[in-house]
Amino acid sequence: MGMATEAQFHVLAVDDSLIDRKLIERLLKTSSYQVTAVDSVSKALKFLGLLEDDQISPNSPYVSPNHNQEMEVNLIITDYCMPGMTGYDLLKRIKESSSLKNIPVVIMSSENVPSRINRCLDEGAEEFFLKPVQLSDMKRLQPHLWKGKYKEEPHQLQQLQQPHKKRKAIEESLSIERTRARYSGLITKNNILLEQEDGSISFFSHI
Amino acid sequence: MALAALKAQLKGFVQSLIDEGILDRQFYQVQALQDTNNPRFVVEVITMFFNGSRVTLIELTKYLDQHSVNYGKVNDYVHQLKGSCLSIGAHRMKLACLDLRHACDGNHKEGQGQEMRSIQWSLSASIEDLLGLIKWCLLALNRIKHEYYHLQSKLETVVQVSVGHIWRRESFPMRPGNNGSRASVILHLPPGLSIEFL
Repeated sequence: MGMATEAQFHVLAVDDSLIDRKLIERLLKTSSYQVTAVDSVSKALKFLGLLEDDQISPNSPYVSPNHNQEMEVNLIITDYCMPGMTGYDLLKRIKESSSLKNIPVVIMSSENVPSRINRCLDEGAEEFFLKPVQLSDMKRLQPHLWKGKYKEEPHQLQQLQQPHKKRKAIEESLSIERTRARYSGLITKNNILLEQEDGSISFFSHI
Repeated sequence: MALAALKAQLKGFVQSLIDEGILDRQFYQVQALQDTNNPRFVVEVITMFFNGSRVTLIELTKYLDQHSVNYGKVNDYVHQLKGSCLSIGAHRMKLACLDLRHACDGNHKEGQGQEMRSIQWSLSASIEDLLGLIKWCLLALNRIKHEYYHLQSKLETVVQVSVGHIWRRESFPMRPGNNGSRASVILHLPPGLSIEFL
């Protein structure tokens, strides 16, 4: 199986502030995520393979053939207020892109403006982090990362369900036993061995 | 143990800065991001903060010193500066940025009271009004600079002690079989450095 047992999530961080980039990078690395940090929306779009070209129709963003599949991005975390294109503009571009719209986007802002927050959430942002972003905020990223990575890859989702396979297999073998007993019960006695919760074995005999 | 005592003094020093309101608890968050793999993290962030702030303050001074003030630009720079203060936990400096922000909007505090007077922008706005606005902005800017220098002198101590830490760690490698005990290490600081704990 080609699936890595340690899921390495890759987060793209976008912030024009040098200090904030340094902090968010450290926060994400502390949480064992791979990080790419860029200082503008245009650099983020280039990284994602969404080229900005005036000749290209806004309805069909051109995906660069150089788009490296190994640099798959599992989550984008972006500042709201940036010179040039804002985090909101980035969010819109992502959600409008057929190839990237499933990547979860988180918006950060130093200002608590409810209308701004709602606007972002309405546009499809998963979360809104108020700056300064804390270590405790990192765990809020987990569910979105899992969803983002496995939404379009059902075979990988099955890999995740492996721990449950064992239990399922046990249940299946038990039901086979029960079926066998039922058939043989017409002629012979049914004997059932059951393991109780406390670990003791109970023997049931059907006469 | 010299190292433990030094760490304790540093911790106490940072706490005193928080008690005074110069720093807030965000500084603890920054410290929490430092580990053995990133031993210079706090020092790097502090250095980055002061370098960036110095440049922004120079720009702000330039923009407020003109015949026609570009308040849009001033607003952008204040926002940037406020953001940095927020991220590092520079509490008093952040408040000073907010004051400048308010001054730019035409709102400013009168004297000691919390009174806010809003300048009504209209065609009849007088020269006095305009000059008054600039005056308040310059006062607010001066306050930010004052907080900047104050913070710098305090955090310099943190930097020097942190650098002292790292310097010592590199100069006194652990003896094998020591199990992390540093009982044999003596505190040495590079010459020319002094520590003042206020």
